[in-house]
Amino acid sequence: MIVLPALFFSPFAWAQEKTSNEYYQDLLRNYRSYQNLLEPFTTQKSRYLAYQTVATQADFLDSSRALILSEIEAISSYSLFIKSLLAEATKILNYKENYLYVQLDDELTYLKLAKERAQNLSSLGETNQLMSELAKHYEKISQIAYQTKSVVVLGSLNKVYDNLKVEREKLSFYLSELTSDTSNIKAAREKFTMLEKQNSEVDEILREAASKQKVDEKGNAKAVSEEIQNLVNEGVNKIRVIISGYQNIVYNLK
Amino acid sequence: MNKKFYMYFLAAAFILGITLVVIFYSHKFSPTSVGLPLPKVEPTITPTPLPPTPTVVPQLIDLERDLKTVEQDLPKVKEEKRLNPPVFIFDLGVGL
Repeated sequence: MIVLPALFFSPFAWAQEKTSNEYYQDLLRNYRSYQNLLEPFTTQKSRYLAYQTVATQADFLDSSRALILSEIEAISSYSLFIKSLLAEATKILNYKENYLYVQLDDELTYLKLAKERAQNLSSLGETNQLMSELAKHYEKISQIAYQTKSVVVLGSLNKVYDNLKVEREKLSFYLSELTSDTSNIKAAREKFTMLEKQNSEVDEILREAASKQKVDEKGNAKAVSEEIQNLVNEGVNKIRVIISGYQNIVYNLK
Repeated sequence: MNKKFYMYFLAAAFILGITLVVIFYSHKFSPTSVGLPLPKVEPTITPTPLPPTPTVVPQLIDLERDLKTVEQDLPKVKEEKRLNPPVFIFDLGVGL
């Protein structure tokens, strides 16, 4: 009985997961630290290449170790940012796929181990090997980031369009219920029918984007993400036209 | 003698002043009509109701409001540029 309230008021009970914005701030901070280490790294590299002595090699190894540790830290922040953004988006967008989370967790586990290895680096050859390994993992993380971009933007568009479809149904029902046949009502019905074409085009855009997203899982995520973004932009423009058209119909029926 | 007269005069003037003030205010705040009481006449013409304002169908008001909400949500559909991967170097560049 005494333990429960103590647990409730303990800092652990109130510890909350960071938001994506907070993770993004972490990423910016860690990436800045990484960039600050680039200049000393380049200087030590030049000295090592120029003199090839034990002392310059030791200094270069130290600066390389510091750089790779900072790199791992920044990549970890980036991965956590992607994961948090995906989590926030899926919560809102009701996105059911979880393979991206699993992949991100695998990468985060790798990064944790890589950090331990980086702390114990004892040669330039070992450092270079770890860097090449890290490059492959970063490639995977980047792919996940582009896939997340597509998930977020396409999910947002679907959500807005679903809401618009509800309004479309309501307006359609209202127009069908009108008994009088004034010129205004006839014109409103005709405009509504014309806007149906735009709706079909948005449906088609969403279908195309969704099929690209499925292919995205194996293909070039960056290129596919750009294609999906272009389709989404096209969809947004069409939805804007539809909303404006519906608003005009409602205004004239009032 | 003169002094006594002056005192009487002041007292009389004071009493007169008070009387005048009382009369003035009693007139000012009392109902003005003093005529014969008349039966209260109810207005015979009932006020005509105002012409009805054109009624707007509630469905249209709802539709207008909801369309506005959808319109406001649309700019939120945008590219999340923060997800673009930052650049890192993965090579020591010393030909090992």
